[in-house]
Formats: sequence, C-alpha cells, structure tokens
Amino acid sequence: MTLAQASDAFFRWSWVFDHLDDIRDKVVEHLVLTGIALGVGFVISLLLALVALRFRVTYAPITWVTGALYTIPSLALFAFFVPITGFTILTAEIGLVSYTLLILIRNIVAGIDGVDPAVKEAARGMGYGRRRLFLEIELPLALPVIIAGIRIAAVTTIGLVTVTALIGQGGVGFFILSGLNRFFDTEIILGTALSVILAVAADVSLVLLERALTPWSRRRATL
Amino acid sequence: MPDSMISLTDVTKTFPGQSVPAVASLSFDIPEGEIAVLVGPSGCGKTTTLKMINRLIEPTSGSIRVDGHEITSMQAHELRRGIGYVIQQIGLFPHRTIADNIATVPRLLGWDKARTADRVDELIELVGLDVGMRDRYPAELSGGQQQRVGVARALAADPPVLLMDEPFGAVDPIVRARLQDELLDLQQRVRKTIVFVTHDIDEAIKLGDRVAILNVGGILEQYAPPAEILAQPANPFVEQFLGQDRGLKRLSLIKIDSVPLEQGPVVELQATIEDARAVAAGHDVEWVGLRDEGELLGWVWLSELEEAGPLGVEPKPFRVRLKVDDSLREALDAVVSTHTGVATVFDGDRYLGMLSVATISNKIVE
Repeated sequence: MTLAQASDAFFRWSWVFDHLDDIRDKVVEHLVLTGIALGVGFVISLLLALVALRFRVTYAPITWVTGALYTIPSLALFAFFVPITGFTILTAEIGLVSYTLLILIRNIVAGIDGVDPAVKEAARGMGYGRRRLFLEIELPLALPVIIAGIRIAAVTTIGLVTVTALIGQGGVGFFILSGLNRFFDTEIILGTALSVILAVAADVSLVLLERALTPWSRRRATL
Repeated sequence: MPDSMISLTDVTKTFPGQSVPAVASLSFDIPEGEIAVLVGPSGCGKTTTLKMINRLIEPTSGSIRVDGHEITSMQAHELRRGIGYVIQQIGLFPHRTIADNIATVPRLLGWDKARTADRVDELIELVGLDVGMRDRYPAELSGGQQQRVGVARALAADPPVLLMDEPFGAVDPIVRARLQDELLDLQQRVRKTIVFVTHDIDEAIKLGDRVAILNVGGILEQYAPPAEILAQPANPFVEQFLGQDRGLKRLSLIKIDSVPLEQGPVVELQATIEDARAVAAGHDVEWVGLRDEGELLGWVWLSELEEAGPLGVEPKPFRVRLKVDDSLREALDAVVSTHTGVATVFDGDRYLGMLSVATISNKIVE
C-alpha cells in the first residue's frame, strides 16, 4: 500500500508501531538521564558560582577545571569511568553532569554580575542582608541569563545522552546504536529524530518557563 | 538650634590604600524636620558622608548619631530600615511591581498585608502618582515617575530620616524643577529630616534649610542657611563656589512682600497733563501709569500724552504682573525686560504697587 510498509523501505513505520512501548520507555529514560544531569549539575554549579561570587579569586580556577572537563571527549570520559563505576547510570551521570558545569557556572555568575549595581545599592540601603539580597533580588533578576545557560546545557545534554548508549544507558541513543549494529536505518533515523525532537521541545519549554518566571522583562513603556 | 536628629562629630573616612582622607574630621548637626544639603565639587566627600549615615560606608573614626543613637550600636540592616534612601539611579526593583517596590521596607519590617497595602495606596497618592500604576513594572514608567516611586519607597515605613543622593541629577531640567517643587511641597506635609547631596549650588539654595559647602577632601567650608551663606560667604572658596551671580541667587530667596512697594509714577485718568508731567518728573521717568479708581489700566509715554491728551491715548498694559510671594529675582527680571523699568505687583486684579531696581538692590546691599 504505502512505501513505509514495503520491507526494503528506507524508513519502516510498521517497525515503529510495533515498538511503541520500547520507544516510550527509552524516551522516559532519556528524559530521566537529562533531568538528573541538569538538576545535579545546577545544584553543583550554583554552589560553585556562590563560592566564585563570594571569593572572586576562586572564579578563574573554577572555570579552568570545569573548562578542562568540558574539553574531554565524552567517549573517553565514559570509557575512563567504566572500570570504576561500571555500566551504570552513575557512570553516565558523571559525564553528563561534568559537561553542564562550565556553561551553568558561567551563566549564573554572569547573570548575578549583570544585576544593575544601583538596584543592589538601593536594596542594601533599605536594609537587605546578604542572603535576602541574593535570593530576592539578585537571583530573580539573573534568571534570564541563568535560564539561557540551562537551555544550552539541556540541548547539549540531550545530545550527549545518546552517547551513553555505549555504556548501556542512552535513552533514545539505544536505537541509534542498535540500528548501527544491525545496519537498520529505521532505528538510526528514529533515534536521531527523537533526540532532536526532545532537544527542541526542551528548549521551547525553557523559553516558555522563562517567560512565565519573568513577566516584568516583557513589559516596556508603551506610552 | 532645635534638637538635632543627625549629629556628626569629628567624622573621618580614609579609604584603604589612600593617604589622604576622603572626609576629614567633619562635624555638623541637622535639626529635626530640616533639609540639609551637602554640596561641593567632585571629590569633596559629600556622597561618602551621606553613605556613612546609613553605614553603606563605615567611618574610619568619629561618631555619628541618628535620633540620639550611635549608629554603630545597632545592626547595619536594622539601622537602614529606619532611614529612607533615594539614589540618582533610583534603583527600583525591575522584577517587582510599583506597589511591591514601595512595600519593600514594610515587608522587611514584617508589616501585615492590609497595613502594607493601605500604606502603599497612601504613598502613591502622596507623591502624586496614579493609583492605576500599582501593578505596573518600573520599566513601564517615565524617569520622573520612577523617581517619584523611589521617593515613595523611601518614605514607606515612615522613617524620620531621609537620605537623598543626587536624586534629581539624571532627569531633564524641566522635570527636575518640578520634582524639586514637589519635594518642598511634600516636606511641608511630612517634615522629615532630609540629607540631600547635590553638586548643583542652585538646587542646594532652593531646597536647603541649611547648606553645607564641602571642599575637596571632605573639608566643611561653611554650614549655614542659604541666605546667610549668600550674604556672608565664609571664605574665598565659598564665594567662588557660589559663582558670580551671588546677588541674583540671594534675590531668588527673598519674596516681594519683604520690601516696601512704591506707588510709582501713577496718575488718575482724570489728571491733567501738567499733573502727569510733574509726577513723571518726580520719579525721573518719561512715562506715567494710568489708573481708573484703583484699577491700573497701563502706562503711556509723556510725549504721547502731550500730543493726544489723557483720553486720546490707549494705555499699554504692564506685561509682567507679579504676586507678593514671587521672588525679587523675578521682580528684577521684570525690571530689566520692560520699557518702564519697574515691576508691577498685583493681588489678583488689584494693583498693589511697583518695584524699581533701586528698591531691589537696597534689599541686598543693606
């Protein structure tokens, strides 16, 4: 009937329909791996950024170390940890988290640094303590820049998760690896397409999240 | 001097790594309910002095008392919640609505919601903003409106003291003049003790009950009411800082009702030409004012009168009509910009009298 049903077709929809449950499981796994990486990465980045903001001299070393991590090829990093932590989610996350740090730390620090000094001075002059100033003034005002960092980290991580298929994780990367091993185009295309769709969806969601969290930034004088 | 609300004694500030102090052994008192303006050239330590009062800068030595309390005896953030603070860049919180911005200090102090909301509405009205702006964000307001919100925010918890660091420095001259007038008007109602920093001597003279003139290195050259500073500058620095037009500045501080008005060369409409000529000669002028039963119709040249007779000429109106609460500076402006060389003063339509340049200058050279 249709091209997709022909057995030698480039992309076989029938295979897809036969494996919907698998696909769903792998998408969920992909999202879980990404979510953990971003969540853990953000917490570590926030702590390191706080250290860097409080003690300026530490900022350069922190970016050196996280920058060095960022340059390590992902394949090598996973291969290095397999003998230690095995073919586990932990091995995957060590790598994935490492790659988020540089981007997140830089954007958190840049976001906080970018807050108008006059706003900070007014806040201090009215009796804000250091902690309240950070939580109630600096952090919300840095949100656009911080979320911009999370967007980059999210898109990068979603792509990287596919590589973790090599260590038995991988989310939709499983299909790509499996397709490569079996010379089965449908799986390769499916895995790639799903990865791209997830990345785009995550990016769009974060844009919407930013808009929801920063209603002030879209209002300008319209007199 | 009434009880002082703010009192500086031998305050010195030397910033780390600098050999010369930014503020050197500064002492002055500000009475409750007055506006004290700190003015001086760049590097005179006026902003440093201001920021030492709310401990954004800690003095190296000396003592500062606010409302009787040594400021170092309390936590800096608690001290600051009791002192209003307005800066040139305003520093409104862009992510909070106007109402939330104004509610900043009440929230820090833990006021309940209803009390805070009532206070916000009261302040929006007090500073002359529209209540409809409550839920707008700062970016939606003009510069002048934002500065009003800044003042409202500083007044929110009704602090006895307000510190203002060049608050009107970034707005255009027209808006600035209006904001200055509004501040004086507001001060009539709220009677705060205000420390106001500016580099503009005219602003200092206009706003200050007292003006502190500071020199580079935080040296206090003179601290006195503006009229006194203008009349008796303490030293050549003050004299130079006040500028060439010191006399004019003094005139702007004196109201017309503080000098005697003259009737001037004015005759009734029925007067004869001889009468008019005699009156004009008595004042040594070439014109007379014409009056019809208390109403001043205008003025005519004597020569016109001689040609056409008193009823044959159309009197020219006095263009500048001053009120008794206008300043002598405005009167002088009228004097130099009219043919008659006088400033006419009215109460509504009623003619009160006129001022000549001699009367005006007598007032400041006396």
